Amino acid sequence: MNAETILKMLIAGFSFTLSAGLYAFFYALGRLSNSFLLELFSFVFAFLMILSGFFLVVCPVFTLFWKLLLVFSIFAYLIIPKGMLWIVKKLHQKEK
Amino acid sequence: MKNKNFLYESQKLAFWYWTLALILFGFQLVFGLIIAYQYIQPEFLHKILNFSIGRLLHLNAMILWLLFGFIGGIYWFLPMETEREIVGLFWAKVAFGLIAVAVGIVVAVFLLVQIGKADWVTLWFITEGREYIEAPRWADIGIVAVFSIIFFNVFATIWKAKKLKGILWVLVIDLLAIIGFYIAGMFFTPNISVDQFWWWWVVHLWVEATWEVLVGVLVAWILMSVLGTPRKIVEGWLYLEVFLVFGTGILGLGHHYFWIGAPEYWLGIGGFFSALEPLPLVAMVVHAVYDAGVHRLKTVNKPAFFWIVFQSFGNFVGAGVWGFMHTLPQINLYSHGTQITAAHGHLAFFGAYVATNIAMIYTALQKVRLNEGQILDGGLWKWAFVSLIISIFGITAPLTVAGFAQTFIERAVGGSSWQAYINGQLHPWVKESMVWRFGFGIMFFISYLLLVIDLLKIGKKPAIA
Repeated sequence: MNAETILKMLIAGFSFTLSAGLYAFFYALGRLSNSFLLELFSFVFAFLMILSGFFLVVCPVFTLFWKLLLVFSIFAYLIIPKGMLWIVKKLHQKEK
Repeated sequence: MKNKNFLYESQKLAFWYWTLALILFGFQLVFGLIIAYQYIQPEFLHKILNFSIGRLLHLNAMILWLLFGFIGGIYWFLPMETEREIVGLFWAKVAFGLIAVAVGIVVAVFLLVQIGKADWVTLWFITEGREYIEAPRWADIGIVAVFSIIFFNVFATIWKAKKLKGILWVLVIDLLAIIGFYIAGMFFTPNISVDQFWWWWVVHLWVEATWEVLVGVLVAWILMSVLGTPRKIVEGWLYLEVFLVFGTGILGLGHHYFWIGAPEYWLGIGGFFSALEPLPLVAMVVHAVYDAGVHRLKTVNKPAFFWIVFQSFGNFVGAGVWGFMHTLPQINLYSHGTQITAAHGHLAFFGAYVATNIAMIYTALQKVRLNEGQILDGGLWKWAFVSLIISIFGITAPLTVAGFAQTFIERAVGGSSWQAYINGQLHPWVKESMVWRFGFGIMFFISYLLLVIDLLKIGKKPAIA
């Protein structure tokens, strides 16, 4: 591994979590406002998250344990917005 | 039946805590500006207020003011929850008096005496010397005593009121953990690895776990006040949050054990749970979007509502994004202790704790200054809200750039040699970043003044009747 790879890993780590959050934000916003465009826009960040995650997964510095952890994180970030929205809606059904 | 503006004595005491908290917030910023300037002009206040002392005061003032804010929140909401005055009000007032005097003495010693010989006198009366918890031993015991009084007051009040509600039980258990974990930081051992092992229990488990739960309790009460969210929902959410935060956060402690001489398995445990730590924070973003969307930004308390919605985003960005970026051991090996850590700390504390404290104070001001049905709003809070957020990101961004330069030049290229350190510190990305950080620090201080002015004035002339 060369020195530049460390910087790329830092940037990928930053982009990975940030895009996961932006995906969750726009997905929830799109679903709440019934806006297909916003929901579609959220998938841009989902794609960016997968891309950043994939960059980390293929980094030779990570052994199989870490690669599996990162793959798990990618799937978790993909599922969380949908799953969490379902949970929150269920919780708030009591409000009505 | 009590009228809406009726205040319990403990709620009046809450305002004393918040006043002291806001004064200490100001001190924190002044010392922050001094040390930020020392990065640009290292000889500034040399031998009068060295960087180490300024940094100590900056950090300890922050810990204390956030803590006082939380205590104020407990004393504000507890009588509303139990529908009675708190038990042990006298001791609560005594504790406040003691804590105010103790803070004054500790600050005076830090400013005038500063350091001492490596002996028991220094440990007990000047400083314990441990980063972030530098208070002398007597003050440490004082903190435990004050929290024991708070624990007694909370528990006895709930007991007398016979109101065993879910939120209150979470608070009681969390207060016990706050007392217990703080004691872990008072051990002393000459083995630096063992010493650091326990010290991190305070810094990580105390601040990042028990405080997060305390904030969860306070946010639950704020949401009930500001949005009228039913108790069952906030309780359900609180249990879920406690489960997720503890599930990932307790063993996430391991990311602090990477390089202190702890066994190698901590690399795997710490890295694994740290990688999972942002997951509940993303979930909270979804919940915040849902709450804001369902209520269509309609609330009886605009500033509290905006600060509490920001809290979930700030927590995610500060703790989640900036935290994950450098938490895996393969990356942390190079980035550890650089300005990336400082950037992460600034943003995470602001997002998670500062936002909660501000929201809490606005929530209380509404009850004090407005009548039923009136909306707390105005113009100045918006300026303070926006400029505080811009300036904290303005502080964080240059620190991140500097941290990237340090990671690359000092560690990855230079291999952590003394020359590499000098090369890194002299690099424009580090030097110029410090100027930008100082500039945004001044902006943050001005924003703080706007916030204080707004807190003093808002609601005195109701915006909408």
